[in-house]
Amino acid sequence: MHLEIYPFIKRPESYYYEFFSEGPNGSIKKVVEFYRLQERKQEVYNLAFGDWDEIAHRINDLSITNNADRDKVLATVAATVMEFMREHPGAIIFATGSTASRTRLYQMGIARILNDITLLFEIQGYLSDTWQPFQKGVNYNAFLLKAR
Amino acid sequence: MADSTKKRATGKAKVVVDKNMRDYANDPFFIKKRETAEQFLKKAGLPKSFAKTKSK
Repeated sequence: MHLEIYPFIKRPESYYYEFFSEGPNGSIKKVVEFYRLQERKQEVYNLAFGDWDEIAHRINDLSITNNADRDKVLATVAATVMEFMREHPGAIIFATGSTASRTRLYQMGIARILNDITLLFEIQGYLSDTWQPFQKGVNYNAFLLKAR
Repeated sequence: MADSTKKRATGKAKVVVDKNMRDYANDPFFIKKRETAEQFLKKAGLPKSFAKTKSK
């Protein structure tokens, strides 16, 4: 990938990554989680990310940061996926947004880097009760990714 | 903190391992997202090409 990303930190022996969005609204901590879903034979991990709320001391993915760095944030999340997949080459990653607009944001993020990652990863989108190969410009409900 | 944080080369990703990083395992948002994912995949299943993937 040739996109600009934020440096991120990870927690050893677990699947959490942190980075800071920097922009007109200040420095906002973002947290990414990869969680292995237990009810599956395959190594399926749920990808979730959101903003750390310093007042409520919890994650909030419904907040709208407006920090003028959407592409850089999405590229950084994609970089955590690459890092995670390096350590878990057999993993399948599932992702969906908390809202339709958030899912569309993920879709735009995937579309932006699709040419860079399509040789490394197979990506499917869920639409009309079926999984199908990811295509740009299609509004999916959820996404799956695995190494080729 | 500096002594507990070590840098390592991981290709283009600028990642630093920090053993003092917060544990988010019990965060309500993440718990809800895991439940949603389980329910979604229970209904949708996996595509054929993904179902063949071997687990560790």
